[in-house]
Amino acid sequence: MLSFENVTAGYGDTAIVRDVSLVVPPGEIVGLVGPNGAGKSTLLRAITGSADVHRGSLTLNGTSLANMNARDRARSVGVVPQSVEATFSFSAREFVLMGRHVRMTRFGTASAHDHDVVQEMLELTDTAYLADDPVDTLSGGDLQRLALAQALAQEPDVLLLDEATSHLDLNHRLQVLNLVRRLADEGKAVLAVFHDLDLAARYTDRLAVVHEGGIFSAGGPSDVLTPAMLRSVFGVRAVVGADPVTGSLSVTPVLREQDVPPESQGSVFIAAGGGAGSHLMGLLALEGFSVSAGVLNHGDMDREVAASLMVTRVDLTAYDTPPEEIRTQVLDMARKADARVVFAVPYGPANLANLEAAAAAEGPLVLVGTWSEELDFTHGEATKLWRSLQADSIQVTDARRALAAVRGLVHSEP
Amino acid sequence: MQFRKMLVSLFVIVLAVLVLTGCSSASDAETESDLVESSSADDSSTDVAEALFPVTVTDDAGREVTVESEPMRIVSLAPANTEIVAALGLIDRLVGVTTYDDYPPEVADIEKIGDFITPNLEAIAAAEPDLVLATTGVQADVVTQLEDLGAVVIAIDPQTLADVAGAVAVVGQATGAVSEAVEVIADMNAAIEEVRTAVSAEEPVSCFLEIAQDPLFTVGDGTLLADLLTIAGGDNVVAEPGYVGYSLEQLITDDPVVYMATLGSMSDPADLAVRPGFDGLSAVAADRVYVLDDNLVSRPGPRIVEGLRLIAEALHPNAF
Amino acid sequence: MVDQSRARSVTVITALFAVLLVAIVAGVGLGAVSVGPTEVFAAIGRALSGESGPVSDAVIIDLRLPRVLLAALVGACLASAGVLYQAIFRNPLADPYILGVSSGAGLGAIIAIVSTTTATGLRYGLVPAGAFAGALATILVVVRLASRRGRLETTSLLLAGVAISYILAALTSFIMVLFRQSMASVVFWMMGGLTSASWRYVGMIAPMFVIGVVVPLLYTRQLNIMLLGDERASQLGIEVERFKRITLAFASLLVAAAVSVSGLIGFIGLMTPHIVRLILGPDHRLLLPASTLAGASIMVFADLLARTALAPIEVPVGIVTALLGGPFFIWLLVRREGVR
Repeated sequence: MLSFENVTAGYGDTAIVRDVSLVVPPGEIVGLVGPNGAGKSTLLRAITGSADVHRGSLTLNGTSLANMNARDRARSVGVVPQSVEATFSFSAREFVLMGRHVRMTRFGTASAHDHDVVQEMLELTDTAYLADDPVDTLSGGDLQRLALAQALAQEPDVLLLDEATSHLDLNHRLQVLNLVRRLADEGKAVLAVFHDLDLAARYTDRLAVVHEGGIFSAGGPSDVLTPAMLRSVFGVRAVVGADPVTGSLSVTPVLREQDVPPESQGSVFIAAGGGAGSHLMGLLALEGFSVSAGVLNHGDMDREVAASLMVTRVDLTAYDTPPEEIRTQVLDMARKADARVVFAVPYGPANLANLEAAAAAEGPLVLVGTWSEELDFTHGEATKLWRSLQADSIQVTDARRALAAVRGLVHSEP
Repeated sequence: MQFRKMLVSLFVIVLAVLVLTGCSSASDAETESDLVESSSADDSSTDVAEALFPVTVTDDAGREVTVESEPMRIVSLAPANTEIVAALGLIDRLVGVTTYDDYPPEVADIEKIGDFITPNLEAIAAAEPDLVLATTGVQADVVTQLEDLGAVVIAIDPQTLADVAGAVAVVGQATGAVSEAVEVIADMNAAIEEVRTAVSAEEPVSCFLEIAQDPLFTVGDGTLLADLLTIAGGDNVVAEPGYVGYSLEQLITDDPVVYMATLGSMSDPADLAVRPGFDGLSAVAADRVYVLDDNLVSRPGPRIVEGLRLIAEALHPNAF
Repeated sequence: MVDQSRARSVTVITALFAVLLVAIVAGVGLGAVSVGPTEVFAAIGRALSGESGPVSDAVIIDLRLPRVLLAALVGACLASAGVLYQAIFRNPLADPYILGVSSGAGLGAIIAIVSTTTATGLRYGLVPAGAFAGALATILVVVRLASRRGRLETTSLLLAGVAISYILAALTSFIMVLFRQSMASVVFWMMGGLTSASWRYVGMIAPMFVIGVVVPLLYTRQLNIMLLGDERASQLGIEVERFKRITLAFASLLVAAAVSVSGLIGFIGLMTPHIVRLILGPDHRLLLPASTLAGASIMVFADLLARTALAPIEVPVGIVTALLGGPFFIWLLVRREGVR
């Protein structure tokens, strides 16, 4: 087990990470995510000895890593770096054999067992077909897999991956991460730096977010990967959703905080639901409009997006008519807006309030989509309201046109 | 720096002009006097007419140089030339010598104007010479520069023992000390004769003269030292002419009976045996290794006859 | 597959040994006085048995044989030092003189030469000692300058080497101007030559060669791994800083030994490993011994050329190797253009 206890580390006298505590048990893949320069690589380097540990204790199965010599360290820790220097024409097999160095006697030669291990690692990383090729002719992706084979040849207990899939194509990325997962399941402790949050969410057991030299948050992927964290740490307004196929989290960045214009371009009220309004919400946010959305139910895609984009709204859990105060709130939102957009989505007792508010607010608005009575779950109320709005509104078919209409409405305000 | 250099050059030129105009006006007729050349035997010294000034001489660079009047301020750019001037009794007229000059002892008090390889032009100009005795070879550029400044320069570079006497004669003519020159030459010839007679009865003995050890350099035909070797009764093993690099293998194959070296190249005869490969030489085994004083052996001045004697004594110790 | 490469290595090394043997016999036999191979062996036989022989025996036993053996040793030292330096710097164009060793040796030699103008007999012992001391002192200073917090970075080493080189070269030139009479001797020494070869020199250098080459031969695996870069090598279990220093020490011992007896002979330390690597690959298990043998043979041939080309004048060996070195670089350049 790898353990950081209040570790402060850096290069020379400069500390990059401060007071970090983290544990990587055998059998687990722990991911490190965070912006560039946060200190993720420094944490890895503290383990390998390339960075200096100033304070705290960094131990592997109880033994301090700082005091270990390079040989003992390499017998326990294998590293897969981001890029591999290969300017000399060793064959791939000879390259991987170098990983056996710490398992061989100082002056000995490679035994049959050593060669067997090398062959096994080559096959495991799907590089056996390259075995006799000179490494200085290979691509970044091939080299990265060979580096993994080399690290595995050390037969380490701990694997450190520093963005080890950055050069890999889709196929090999899956392959390597599946392999790492299997190795973890077989007992290795894995600490891996990820830039791709979706991959991190999918393959790690626990995640630690590294920010400005410290651990911002740590825990399971769903606990850690929140819109709030993404905003604070990465400065990005992103939507965190569940990937429909894998079930693991998927992060969709929408907007950089820096790109949000300081002054609001205008305010827009949207009545939507079921994901219909998500695209428009994103477009409006990008252009600097402040958006309100009335009531939205948990589990509704639009609610997730609204949450990420900091859209003013009321979140509902129930599906029945909301209480008076809430309906007043929604009306207020609609009245204050410079423009209103109403989507043709199913309306029920809960989100009817949005439609009512848009109608009551008076003033031109934009209708998106074609109404059908199948959307009406309010015994005709919704249909009546829609029809009443049709006369004095701009009808559009999609979010882009809605945006154009909104622009027009907002700018033509007296 | 540029400006300063210009000022100094200007000063030197002005000085040179003053020097030249200060000399008494020359008469139209240039009298060519006979050059006194020493021959191998008797000198017809009494036939030499008293040189009048101006006089024109031909120096060892093949140049015709005219000396307008008797030089009273002489600069010598080589120790040999200094010794010639001193032998002619004109040491009081020497106003500049090189740092290498050491004979006669009185030269220690004379102003030093640089070393043999790079004489200092400014110092020479400051000495206001009316005659400069230079050499050829490494000083060729200096001669040109001095002439450009208007100085009277005679280049002296004897290649044989006979040429040394010739040099004495030329200097005598140029300085007006002709009778003294005749005397010096006579003494030299006498000394040479003595050596010749002593070794005439002996067989020439094979020899080698080292002038530098790293790399190993020696002398062949056409050099002054080689001439001395022959006259002193030696048979130089070196077949190539001029100053020659020699390989150890060739030396061991030639195996000279007598091994000589100049003092600048070897400090002690015992040093030779220490050098790897040399202990196989017969000369080392028979203790026929001699270190010779360069100042006597290599300097083409009046004392060269002493050098000749040293060589002869090394080659034929029994004849003396 | 493994057996194949081992068999290949054995063949290559044996072949190189054979070439060296031929070179030595040729070197001993040819020269101002030429002797056939059978005569060479006969002369050696006589020397061993104590018989006396013709004058040519002295030439062979006392002059040629030590000289040729010294040439082989010097070539071997320079080539193997080149291999080690190229490993430390991870650069196939690194030269054993890269850290200013040549300037240091030159300064040591010139001090020895000018202080023995009136005692020339001492020169044969003092000049090698001075050159050796100068070479080692330079390395120590350069390493000291380049160390930062116990870390020895390549760039720092190179910078320190260049700086020290310039300073020492300036000092050397200055001394040369002050002691002009010795200039010829100094320049001659610096051009590199084996004219003062002797059995004594052979005896001095042989043990240093053995130490300097045998030990690194045990560490060829680590040398290979060092080529991946300091960080990766450390991750694979090499104590990088210590290894660099130790390798540098052995390499410098080899260079100092060679330079002390033969002056500054260039290009052998650079060309030999480079060419051998191009032909045999970067694996130090073969590269190191092969380069050592190749360097020895090349030097023996170069010295033969130096002795015989303009006989009886001896061209300094350094000039011969420089004449080989220039075209070598041009060939490298042309080759690169072709590849692109």
